[in-house]
Amino acid sequence: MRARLGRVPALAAAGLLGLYLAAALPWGLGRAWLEVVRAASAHENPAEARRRVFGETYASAIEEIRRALPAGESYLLVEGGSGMLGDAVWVRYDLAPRRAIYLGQLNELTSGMQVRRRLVANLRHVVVAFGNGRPPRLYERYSFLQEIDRRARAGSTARGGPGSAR
Amino acid sequence: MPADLAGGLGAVALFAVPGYGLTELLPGLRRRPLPRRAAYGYLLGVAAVAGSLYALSHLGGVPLRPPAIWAAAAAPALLGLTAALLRRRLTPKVAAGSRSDSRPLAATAASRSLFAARIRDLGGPLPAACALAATFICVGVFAEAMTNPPHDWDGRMTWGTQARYVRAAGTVDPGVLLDSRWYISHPQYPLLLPVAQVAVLEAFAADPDSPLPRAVYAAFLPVLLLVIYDGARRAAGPVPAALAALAVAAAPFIIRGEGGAESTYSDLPLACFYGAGLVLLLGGRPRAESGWAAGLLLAAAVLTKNEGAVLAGLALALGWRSGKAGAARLAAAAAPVVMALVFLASWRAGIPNRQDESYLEIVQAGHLWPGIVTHVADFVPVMIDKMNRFRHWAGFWWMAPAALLAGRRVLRHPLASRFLTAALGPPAVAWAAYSVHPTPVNLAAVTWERFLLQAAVPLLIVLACSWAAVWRRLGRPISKQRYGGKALLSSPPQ
Repeated sequence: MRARLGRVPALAAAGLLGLYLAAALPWGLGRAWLEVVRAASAHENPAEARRRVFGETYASAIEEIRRALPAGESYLLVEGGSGMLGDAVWVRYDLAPRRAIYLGQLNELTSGMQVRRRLVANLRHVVVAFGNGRPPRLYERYSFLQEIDRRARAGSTARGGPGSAR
Repeated sequence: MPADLAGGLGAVALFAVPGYGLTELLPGLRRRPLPRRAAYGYLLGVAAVAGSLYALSHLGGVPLRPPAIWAAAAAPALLGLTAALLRRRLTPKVAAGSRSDSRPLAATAASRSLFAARIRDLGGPLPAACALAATFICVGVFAEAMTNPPHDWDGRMTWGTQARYVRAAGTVDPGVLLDSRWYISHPQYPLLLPVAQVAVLEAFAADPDSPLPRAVYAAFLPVLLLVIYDGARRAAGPVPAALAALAVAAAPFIIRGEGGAESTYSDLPLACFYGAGLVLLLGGRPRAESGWAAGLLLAAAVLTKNEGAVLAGLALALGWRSGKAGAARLAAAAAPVVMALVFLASWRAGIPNRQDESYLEIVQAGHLWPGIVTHVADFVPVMIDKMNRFRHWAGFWWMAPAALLAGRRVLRHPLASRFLTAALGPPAVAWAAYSVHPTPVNLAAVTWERFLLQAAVPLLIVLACSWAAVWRRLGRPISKQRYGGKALLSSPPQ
């Protein structure tokens, strides 16, 4: 009896290992099969794959900005969303090796004067990144500052501003 | 055209071939069966090729362009080829089948099919089935990597971004890191894996959005499984070793998680470098050559992630053995680690830190105490919640404690206790980080599982030992086939 009781932990350990493999393996093997099939039938170049994964509008916007800003150019980066979704860092990655200076969150930028004070380099372009797959937008700096001032005059700090049309 | 599978294999070969050449210089690795030798070779290749490019770029100003990359890859490959040719010329020919590493294969080939001999060499049908399933999962990960662009968090935020800046500048000291105005996350994070990305992209003149760098990360999964299998087989025998490798391959987080094989985080590479260094340091007889190989892998751990320095130190401490041979092995292992630490300090010296937690400063400010106790109630529930998530771990963390409990007697063995201590290293680093961090709950939520991954090799070796004890307890002695000596469970505690 005692010997049998002594086997309980071993039986439990073996049973849990079996259960774990029974639960996890079909998922792992099934997923691997799907990926192999998908890879075998994939006929995409890297740009097409990016459109499929990140969405047509986001990927196209990145390509447009890449064309407008040569690889050696730098830009001012503004976080248009909450910042919790990593919007700015994804855009920074997609636009690298173009260098970025972070200006802050869009809703913190309340006047053109305030933005000018934050400038530590004389860069001509501003990129505003949004979350949830929304496409980033490229501005000439002067037009971005005008937008900020227009928004301040309208007093609409909660809504509107650059990018609100999207 | 289907996904660029051939391109991905080329990217892996850029490191695997030179690394395989290096194993030719190390008898302990050269004698291992091909898959396991190739696994260590891949790690040595990444360490040697990316590590030498990192050093040459920073110390010598060598541009990270194809001539330097091909030279860095060709040198170890040619060295290995020369060593192999010399060895064959100098070594007297021996009768087929007398090699110690091909134990029953040649002897049985005459009467059995090659297939049956392979299955027997693996330890029987169960390990062979485990190997088959794990291989298929690895193929799936490789296929996913070659089909999709990087879509993880830290991979794009830190490692991939740094790689793009380094590639464009042709140096590991690009202006974007050196000038504090530029917006960059964790600028002082070590760059071994980003340099590996750059090497692949430059060597094959690939598009910046090419998935080729993802192949380099995907290859770390089979390497992890083979290192686990190698260490566990030596300690517990082939069946528990195969189950240990399969258990890791089946865990959803290891495959899909943030930091897993389908991401471009540095946690899986760190797990491989740390684990392989441990297996070489703790296993077998102490030899300077195994110490040197372990040291090279631990140096790569230092250059892979910040916590790599702590883990390398722990591995060296655990690898200490008394006697002349033990001291020689430790010295051989410590030398590359010390060089990597000095190099890392030199590289970081010119980089102003920003967008980073600055743990060193927080600890120096005296926040470790009492945070190491008072923050526990904040972050421990997060840790438990993460481990309990079925979609992430499929019950792995319900199964593992039961196995450790059932096989607890085996943990008294010095080797098992050293691997267990090594497995506690990454969680201990996490605990310390959460204790000093201003928002430990958030940090634990995004990093805890990655620390668990870093501990995979030593933990699974201990689990394999426990399973072997469980099998014995249940009256089903596992196969006593051994590779390179007796298994841990068949030898009395020292």
